[in-house]
Amino acid sequence: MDKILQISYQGRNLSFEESAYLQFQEYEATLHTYFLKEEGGEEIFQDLQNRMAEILEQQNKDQAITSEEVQYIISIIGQPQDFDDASENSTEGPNMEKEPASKEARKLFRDKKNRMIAGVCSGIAHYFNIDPIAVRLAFVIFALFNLATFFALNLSVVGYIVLWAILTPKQLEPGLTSRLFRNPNDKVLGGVCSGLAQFFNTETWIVRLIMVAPLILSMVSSNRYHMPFHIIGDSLASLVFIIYVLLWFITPIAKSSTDYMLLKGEPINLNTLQNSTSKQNVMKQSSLGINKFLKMIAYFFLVIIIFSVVMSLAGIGLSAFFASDIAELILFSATNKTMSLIGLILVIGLPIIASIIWLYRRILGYSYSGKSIRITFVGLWMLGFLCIAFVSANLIKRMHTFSKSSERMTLQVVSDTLIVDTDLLKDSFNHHTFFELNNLNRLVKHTNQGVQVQSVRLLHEESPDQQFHVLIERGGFGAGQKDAAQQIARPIFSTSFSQNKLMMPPYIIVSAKEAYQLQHVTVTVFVPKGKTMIVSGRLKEALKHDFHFGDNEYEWDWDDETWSKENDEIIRIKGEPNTTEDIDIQSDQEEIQEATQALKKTEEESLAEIREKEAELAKTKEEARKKIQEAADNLKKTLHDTMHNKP
Amino acid sequence: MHYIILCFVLALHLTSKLALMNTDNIQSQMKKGLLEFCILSIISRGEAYPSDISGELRESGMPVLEGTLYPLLTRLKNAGYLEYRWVESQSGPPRKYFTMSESGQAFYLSLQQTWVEISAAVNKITQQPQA
Repeated sequence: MDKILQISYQGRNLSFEESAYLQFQEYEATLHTYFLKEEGGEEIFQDLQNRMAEILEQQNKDQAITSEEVQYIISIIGQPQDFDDASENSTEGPNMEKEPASKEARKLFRDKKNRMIAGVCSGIAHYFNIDPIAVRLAFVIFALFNLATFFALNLSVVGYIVLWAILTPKQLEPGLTSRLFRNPNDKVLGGVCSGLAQFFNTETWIVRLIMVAPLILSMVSSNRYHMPFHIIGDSLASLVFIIYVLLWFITPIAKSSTDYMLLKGEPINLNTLQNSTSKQNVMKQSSLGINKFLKMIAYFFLVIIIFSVVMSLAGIGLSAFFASDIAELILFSATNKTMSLIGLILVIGLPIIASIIWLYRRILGYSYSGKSIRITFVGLWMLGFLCIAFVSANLIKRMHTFSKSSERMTLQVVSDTLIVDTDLLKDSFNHHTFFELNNLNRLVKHTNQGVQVQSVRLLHEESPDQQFHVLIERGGFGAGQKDAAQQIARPIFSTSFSQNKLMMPPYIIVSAKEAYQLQHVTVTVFVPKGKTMIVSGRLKEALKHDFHFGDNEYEWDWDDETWSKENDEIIRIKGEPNTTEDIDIQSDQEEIQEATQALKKTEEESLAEIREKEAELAKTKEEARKKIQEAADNLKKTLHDTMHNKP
Repeated sequence: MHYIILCFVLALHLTSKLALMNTDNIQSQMKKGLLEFCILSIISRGEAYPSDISGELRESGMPVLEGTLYPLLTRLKNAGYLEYRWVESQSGPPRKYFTMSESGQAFYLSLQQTWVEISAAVNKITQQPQA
């Protein structure tokens, strides 16, 4: 004989045999979980509890209640799977009554009965008459892929929410196809494998082996340098892992005997039901309390995870935008600022509030939430997107054209070394870093003269000749070429050069009264071969947080720098090619030199010819002069002779 | 490679199985449609207690589980077709007795109309002598 328990149930004092009470409790729990999913389920459950107490009381006045009485109750009230069928059309009223059943099935609804979040996936599955697990799996995988590519426009999530708002909820009866459940009776982790095995009608160990195989494969192959094998193993292992976890979350745990039947694909009738109920009742009793406890823990962790993810997302979004003065400068107008504030609060804040509410309801066990509330939420969210779109459109309108101006100078450096330095220190920039994102704040500083924006960068290149050159390029955006050209001329940026020192500020100064159009300056120093350029440590430090627009090579490209600690300077020595690019440049250089040499040669040759000819000419001239002289002398002589002879 | 083939075979197995499993239970569908009508009919005769309703249904040869009956009654009540009243009982908490509301009366009449039409039509069709 069993132990006898005295239980006060629904205001009645009843005595149970212990095993009978366990059985009764379990049955009550199944009923509770079943009716909880429905609207007004709490009331139905209450009524049924009353009724059960009544039956028990009528059945047995003096003796303790045995499992036979409990079985009797079950036969009167029935198992959940048995009243699935009969409870369909009632809520829809007379209209639905007249519609043929086939037409009803062809409409897309949200499934209120069998759902994870809002029953959208389940509704779609019902429409196509397939297992909801398949739809959920596809949905989650698609969502994850979207997540990897671009978060803000996660199509599947947006689609889900839209469907949530549009579709009418309805109690849909599950189609009588075989369906996947997790099997709690035979499990290692979540019972996914044994569920799959039951589903495919195979042995559990086969499925487990298939699941574990790629893992072993990748472990074995990771020691060998057999690339394709290794990669396939690894990717399959991770794929299997992801699928397992997904199935774990998506697949419902088999609770009632119908679930087991559906899982195995057996036809559901009285005989099979009775067989399985007796088997499974024994197995499940012990796990009931633990399950509840585990569920609590799982929810607790879920809350923590979601909370932290949401908070960090919100933190990144909001602080990146509003903690930075640069955004303020770019947005500039009050309309833009307020619009982007509203937009961000709606787009980021609203989902946070919604998910907190959802979790709260979920934990407390409410499942009902008004359609109108949902529509407002979605509508506001869309409004947030519109606000952001408006701001972006404004910004694009103001700066859609990029313009550039450049100025080239040749520096007459006295020695072989050019020193690049700054006399304007960056130490005055904000340094109270709250966390890394606040680095953005260091980009901007408001001063009396204007706003200092750190958008200056310093590059170096090899000089084509023996001179140092400096190329100062200004870039920026504006509405049209003309405007852009005006905009880039605005910021103050001036360099000075004397002897062998080039002074440049590490920032540009823009007016606080105008919007910042992303103006920036690039200084490129051309260093001749064999000569040295020195960048001071403080300039490098000041330039460190530069940021760039419209150009790819924004990294600090001084990989061939040498750093000497004593005088706190970076020294760069030219003429030692250490990258392939440098070699290319050098060969080009050589070609040019050869060409110039050849040119020089021909020039010299022609010069020599000219000189020769000149010499020849001079010779013939001299000769001619001599001849003339001679002739003149002769003439003089004869004249003299004749003059002497005459008299 | 073997692994991929194995998965492929399993997938084939699954699809073939799913294709085979599509059977519909017409009888339960028929019964389901008429249950509400019967319940409303019983309540239309006067105040009724759920277990009495299930008893009458059983006696008339249309047994129904109370687990089906209670949700149905609650839904009909929520739809405004039924009203209920608490009645004190000798022992334990009071019991819920259901009565018909005005809109429930109208709904019941429309269902009755439909039933008369359908049953006449079905009888006519099924009782045609074989050609």
